[in-house]
Amino acid sequence: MSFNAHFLTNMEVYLASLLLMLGVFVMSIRTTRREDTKSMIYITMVILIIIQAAAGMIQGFTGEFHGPKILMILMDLVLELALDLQILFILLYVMYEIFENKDYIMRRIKIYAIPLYILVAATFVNLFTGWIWYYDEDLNYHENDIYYVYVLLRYFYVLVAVILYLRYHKQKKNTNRFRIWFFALPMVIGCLVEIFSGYLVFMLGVAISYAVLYMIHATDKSYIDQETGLYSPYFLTQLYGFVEGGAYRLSSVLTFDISDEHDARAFSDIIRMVLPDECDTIRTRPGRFITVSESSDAGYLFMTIEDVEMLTKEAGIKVKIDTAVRRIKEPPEDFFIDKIGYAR
Amino acid sequence: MTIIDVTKDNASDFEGVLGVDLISDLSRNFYRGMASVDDDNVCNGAFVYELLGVDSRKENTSVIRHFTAESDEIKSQLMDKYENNIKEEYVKKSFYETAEADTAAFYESRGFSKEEGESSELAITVADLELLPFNRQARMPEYIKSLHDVSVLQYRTFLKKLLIKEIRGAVEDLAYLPQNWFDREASSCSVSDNKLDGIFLVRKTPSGELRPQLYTAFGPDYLKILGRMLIRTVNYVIENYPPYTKVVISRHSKEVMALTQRLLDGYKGTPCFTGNRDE
Repeated sequence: MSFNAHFLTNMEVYLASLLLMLGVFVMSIRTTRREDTKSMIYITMVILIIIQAAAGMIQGFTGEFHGPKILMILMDLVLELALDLQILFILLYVMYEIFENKDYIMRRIKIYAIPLYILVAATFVNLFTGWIWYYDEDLNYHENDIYYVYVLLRYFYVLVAVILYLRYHKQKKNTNRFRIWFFALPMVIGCLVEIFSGYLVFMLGVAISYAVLYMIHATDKSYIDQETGLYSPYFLTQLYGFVEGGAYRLSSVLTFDISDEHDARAFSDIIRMVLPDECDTIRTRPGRFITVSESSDAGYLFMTIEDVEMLTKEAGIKVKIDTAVRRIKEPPEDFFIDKIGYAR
Repeated sequence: MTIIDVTKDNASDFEGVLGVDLISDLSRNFYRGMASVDDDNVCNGAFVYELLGVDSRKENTSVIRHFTAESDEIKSQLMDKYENNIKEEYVKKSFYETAEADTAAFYESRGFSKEEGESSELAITVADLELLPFNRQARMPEYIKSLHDVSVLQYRTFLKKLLIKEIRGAVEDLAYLPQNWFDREASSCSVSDNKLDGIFLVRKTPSGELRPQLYTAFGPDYLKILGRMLIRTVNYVIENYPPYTKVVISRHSKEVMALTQRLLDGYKGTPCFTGNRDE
């Protein structure tokens, strides 16, 4: 029995994508919290690639061995629907990277998703009409001209995601490690290779993009204290880099020392309620939390201390609070080393 | 004649001179007052100023809110006391605004500049709000709420965000005022992900005036939020306050100036004298 080179290459691409995404899925699922919406979106993206790769392989074998036509059509349906969902979730993921505001994203996505609803409806209508694509009796795949409108609409969504990112990403704090080109480059390369070679490499490009994202997530997770969800001491090195480079003008440090380390989780919940996103809190020791800010406004410090004292008293948590404010002419990096106790 | 400090403890004794609104303001963190009293303890002069920039890294400045006296001698004594006080407060610059020509002349004699113009405060009525050039029937999304509908903690966390960004509006002591210092039903806010991302604070003063104090929003939708909060507050005020109720807008920044020019084109502040002095 011999297989054509085209079939073999496509199967290799599908298999590589499937195995890569299965590995990423297994490693991600253990450390993903359900309440972390962005991570759940990412996991869904990975699962969709797994589904697409599996469907692609089944379809490939069905075509090569002249299997039932209905199976070809079914797998095609799965592929197209998975791709439509894939695009929606890519857009969602990028929106979460930029806005981090679930309510706003949900309001927007209802409008952005309208063309996708039409795509999905068209996919089902095609099952009965074959007006976009169809299989002949020899299981040869045919596309009608309207298929290219279909494809363009999908690329349009990816373009929307990139434009949104380029328009709004500067508003994000410098601690954000997401870079659109990590995400887009392997996909773009895969797309171009597929167009010019005819091999179905685009899926592998997407899988590589997701694997790169996984590595970024894994690195970011090392900066997070698993018990409290606040920053871990490893974050201090990165933060010092930002301070030394001038990207972060450290101006004030609040130090919270809780007397019972078992209260750490409850205390971290209080900190999250009380502090706005403009502050970062690092758990430097089991019972010590340091909140850093680029502001030394006395009103902000006063309100924070007042709220923490009130809420910890209600929760029965004993905490000692110290405040340090950088003098105007003091270099931020010296202040950082002095007040946080950081050793280079 | 004696110059005494006017604080929240004795401010009510000077209601006849200062008015109920300034009496209320004298209980605030950055307001300072002094009065001249004669041998019969009758007030014959009063001076009230507000410190700005104290909590931030900006230079401390002072805005004189009230200055009245029966004679030039009393004016001089009050000004001398003021100058001593602001030395201790590290004030770098003083500002004044007055409708009285003789008071302006006195300021000028003490080294202040003097310019004629219009007041930074724009006074309109609730009836004027009905003529604002926007659609007051616009659909109100559910995330636009009154201040009464959000928790004190949500409100305070948002204030901290504003203070970090050095946004205070017309309220220098935003961090120290309780939520109910503002009209909690007339004031509007926008809530997203259980946090505030926009606020429009309005104060109802003891004399019954309405004073917008802070108007800001964040996020990609901030323009829509600002518009909706304005509509909600305007509608609430029109429905709940008599049409002759005074609304006083402090045009303390370029942004507020631009907004009032756009919405209240043709309305002007009262003629007055303004000036400043480096300390």
